[in-house]
Amino acid sequence: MTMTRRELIKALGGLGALALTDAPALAKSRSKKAHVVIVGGGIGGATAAKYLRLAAPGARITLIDPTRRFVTCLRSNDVAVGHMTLDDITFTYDALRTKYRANIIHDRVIGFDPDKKTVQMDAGGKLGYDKLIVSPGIDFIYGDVEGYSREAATTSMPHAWKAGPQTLLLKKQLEAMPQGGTFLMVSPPNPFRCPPGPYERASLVAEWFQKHNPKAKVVILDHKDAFTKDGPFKKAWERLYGYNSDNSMIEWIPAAQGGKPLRVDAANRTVIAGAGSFQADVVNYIAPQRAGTIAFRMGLTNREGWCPVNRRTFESEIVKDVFVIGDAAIADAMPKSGYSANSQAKVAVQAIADQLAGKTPGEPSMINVCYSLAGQDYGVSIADIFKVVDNRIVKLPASGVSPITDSPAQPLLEAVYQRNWHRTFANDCFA
Amino acid sequence: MPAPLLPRSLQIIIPLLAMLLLPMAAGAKEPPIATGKMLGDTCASCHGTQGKSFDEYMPSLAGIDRQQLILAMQDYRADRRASVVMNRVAKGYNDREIEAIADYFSKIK
Repeated sequence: MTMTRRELIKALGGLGALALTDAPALAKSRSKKAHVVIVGGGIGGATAAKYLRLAAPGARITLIDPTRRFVTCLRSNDVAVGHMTLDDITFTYDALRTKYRANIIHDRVIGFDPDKKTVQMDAGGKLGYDKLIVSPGIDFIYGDVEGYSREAATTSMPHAWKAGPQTLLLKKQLEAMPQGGTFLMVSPPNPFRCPPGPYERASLVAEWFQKHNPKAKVVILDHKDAFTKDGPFKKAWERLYGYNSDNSMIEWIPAAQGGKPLRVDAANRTVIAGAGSFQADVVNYIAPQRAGTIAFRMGLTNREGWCPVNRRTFESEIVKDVFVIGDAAIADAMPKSGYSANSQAKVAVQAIADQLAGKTPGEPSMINVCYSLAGQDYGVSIADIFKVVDNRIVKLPASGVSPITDSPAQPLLEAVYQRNWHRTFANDCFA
Repeated sequence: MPAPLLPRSLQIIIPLLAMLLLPMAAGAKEPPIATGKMLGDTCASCHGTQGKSFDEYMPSLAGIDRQQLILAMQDYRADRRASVVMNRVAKGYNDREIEAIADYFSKIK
């Protein structure tokens, strides 16, 4: 039996077969079928892969991420207090692979050539691209305060700001606290991933204490004097945890009152701040943040450690044909949230599809809606629509945070919405 | 008769140009909006990809009656209809954008 060349290529399939074709044929297939490579399979990267397939049925799509399953930071606070399990917030790339025909490669990107338009993988060799989407997320700055280190973060002072083993470590430490102990949180300086996250976590820990450790307390040392949704959060703390009373289960120390950490004694679980020395049973030190390390290695960051982009397209202002989305991108009024990453992915996909079709990228539209829990049955939210004006992303007026009302239905419904939303949202990214 | 301020050729051309540009100027008052698909994609994060969701609180928008969606959004925006978040979301879209969103979702099967 003999096989034609075409049959042989078909039988071998995919990337391996391309290596067998001669150079002119490769060039021809390139021009016909654009190759979009996505680095990072979090919410931004996954949404981009899916929406790209919907926008460009003929494109070749490759997504590279070292991990086989993605754990959402969304709802990881529920895991830390035992309302959900890690499995509940873990998602696979199966649908992206089968339903949306994206080639998923579990590998690490270790090199990048913007002139030749290739990325170098650790095990898988070089990969050429026509357009590259980078969704690197965040990494931590360990050297900001004396005594705090990467080592401290994995032992006595977990951040639990990337969901997974850190979430379970914090959970274990919370459960091991002595009765009447102190849970100390350091809330990071702006900008950082998930602006309401620290305050949701403080709330859920206080609620957990009401059941399991009624005399324990949450102390928040803050780099800031204000935080997102602070109005409805503080009202909820008053209603649920005695905030502003002598028996408050939550104490919030803003920067103006000495909340900024100055030094850390990791071995003794102590944080020294302007307001004094705080020794605690659990120290949840949420470190200052910057763009994910891969963005630095690829030369996509500015001096502040984040990635400047054209706000209408999310194309890097540093490297052409590279798009940076999600927490790492500088997006002005948009918070660093999963919801923002999902929305930015759709804008980048529109721009790429338009560019590949030889058109000027169309007008963008972006959104962020964040639900947070101040208790299991008490939600607060923020909802904003964004437009681009003079290459800056601006919030449209009149949208914003949950109203504070006397209606018990509002916060209860927001909590119900939050639970349902996580399912729908995860589907929009991964299914 | 005083000397004309402009050469004769421009005296003719300027009114002609003005006639040409007038409709454009009227159009330029309306800033560009995103496509119905781009706007609809902002809804998808809660209402499902292409408006197809299976959630009792965040209903499907795919195949919705065009006028029904426009009226609902206008009522949310004007706080005539109570909601948990839609009052705030709707305030982010103008009439033309709401119509584009309604066009997009009403045509999805």
